Amino acid sequence: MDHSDKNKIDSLFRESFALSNRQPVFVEEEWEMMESLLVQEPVKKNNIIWLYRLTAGIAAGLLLFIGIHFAVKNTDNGDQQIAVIPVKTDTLQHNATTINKPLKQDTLPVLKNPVLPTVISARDYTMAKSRSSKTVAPSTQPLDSTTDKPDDTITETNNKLADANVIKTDTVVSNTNLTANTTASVDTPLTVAPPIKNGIAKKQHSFSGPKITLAILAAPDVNGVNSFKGAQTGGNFSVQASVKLTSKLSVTTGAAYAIKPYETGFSNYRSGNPAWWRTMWAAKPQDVMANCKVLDIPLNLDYQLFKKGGNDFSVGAGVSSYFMLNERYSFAFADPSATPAQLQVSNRNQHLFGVFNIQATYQHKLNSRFGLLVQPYAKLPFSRIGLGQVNLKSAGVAVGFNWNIHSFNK
Amino acid sequence: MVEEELQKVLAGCLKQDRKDQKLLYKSFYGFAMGICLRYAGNRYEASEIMNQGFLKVFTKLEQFDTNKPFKAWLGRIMINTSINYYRSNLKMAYADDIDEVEVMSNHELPDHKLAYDDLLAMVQQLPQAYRTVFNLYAIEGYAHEEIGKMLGISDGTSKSNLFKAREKLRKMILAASTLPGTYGSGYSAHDNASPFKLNTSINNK
Repeated sequence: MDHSDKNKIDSLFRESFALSNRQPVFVEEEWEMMESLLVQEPVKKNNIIWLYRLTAGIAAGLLLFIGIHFAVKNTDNGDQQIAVIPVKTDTLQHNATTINKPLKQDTLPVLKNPVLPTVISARDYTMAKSRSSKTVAPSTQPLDSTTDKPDDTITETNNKLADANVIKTDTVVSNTNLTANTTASVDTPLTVAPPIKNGIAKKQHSFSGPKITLAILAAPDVNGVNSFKGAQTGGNFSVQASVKLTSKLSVTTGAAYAIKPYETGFSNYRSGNPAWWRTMWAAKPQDVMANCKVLDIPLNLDYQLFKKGGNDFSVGAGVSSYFMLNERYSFAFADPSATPAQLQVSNRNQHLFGVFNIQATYQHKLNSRFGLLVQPYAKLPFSRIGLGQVNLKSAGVAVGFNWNIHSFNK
Repeated sequence: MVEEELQKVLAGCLKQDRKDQKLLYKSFYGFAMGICLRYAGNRYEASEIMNQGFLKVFTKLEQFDTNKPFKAWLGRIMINTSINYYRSNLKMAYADDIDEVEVMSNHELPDHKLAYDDLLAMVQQLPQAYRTVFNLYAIEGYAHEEIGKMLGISDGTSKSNLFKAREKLRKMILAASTLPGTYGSGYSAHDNASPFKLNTSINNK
């Protein structure tokens, strides 16, 4: 081979490969193989951060829910209350406050001597007004009057009125059509008034927060793919918080750490897709043994079917989000001499609201604070779970204790 | 893919964003597969090598110097992955000495051009050791000294393998010119079919 032939061969291939505009066309199956390789990569930091954020979000959502529930409950009591904002007396002494619109937090009537109420009930206000010789004479002007001119001025302070603790502004507006054109001046420091003694109803509001119950449960967790035939038993350890919505209805959330082993044929694992297993092995595996560590965040609604004495029974349903903390798989091959292949991934798969929960809960009260719980449950996935994308079903009977937080408020 | 878009996709890939990873994969698929096909014995092996290469890209992307062209970096990764894929076979095949293969054919090469697919099929028919050296020397432009270091062989062995590769290719080209359709007719690098089908029936489209 002479030198020109060498160059000719080299340049023939080089130019053809370099200049050819015929490039291989993208094949979707090859990306699927690529994805499965990526799936086997070690834990990514941002996945962990995402998991923390989600958990924090759930916690924040729960707190928000409790807060809203708390606020709604207080409003529903009919004791609409308003808080008196501390008033600087020196300002009040010199600048009489004129109120010519419906009472608001920042426009409360400020009363002269001797003391100011912290919170005043409108009913008390009305009653006191009627008893007082000359306290507040309500105006007949419409509520939306914009006149700044005060119709009445409190010149004498009715101690009873002053002693009142709660004011219901909605009552003030609706019952008396009162335009709070009330001016007062204060020349003494603000103090909290003592309770009323002369029969005027005192509205000492007691905070009745949401009824929250915490529970700790543990269960043998039975797991199977498609069915419970040949099921494997793991464990489920959970902390739950329940909030009563009504006397019978409550919402429950929390977190559960579950160990979910299972064994299944490879045909159930990623549907035995060759685009997946061929990226790793020459032969198709026959069976898969799995052991998954899962963080389960449930959101369930429970309905109390009966309550008798210290016992009650409720049923519930809801959804769970699975965060696959760790997945270990062992693939067995048809050839008995072949060594099973191992595969492990961490924090790779999440299934938001991917599992349907049903449960029944029996509770026996041990005392006013604590109770014993027995909770049979089943978890049926909407979506395919884990790296293997299997229909992983779980069931068990959880046993534990609950703690009625509300009992401390009483 | 324009530079600005590429930078965005690379940033997404750094965050392990699967959509950006797929976009990058899809955008450079042709380029990467083109390299791997030259080093591999068939489409299935090329696919395996390419995915191993992209896996390195996705997992080592933080090492990429954004001031340098991405395509060149990707190309080097694909070549290195190809070499690693066949490394054990390569070492076993380098047994010949250059003196033993100085038997030349004097047939002249035809002047007409051959199709890309035909030439690719010829390269793929070379033994792995010959193919790798031929690719590195003739296509990528490495010197024998560099090839020797890359493959862990001597300069002489590299020269020997290149010589043998050229001789085999020359025979194939001559055969193709006298018997049209000998090469490339049954195998296309552009085949849209699954690589697995190609692997099991390489001569059937």
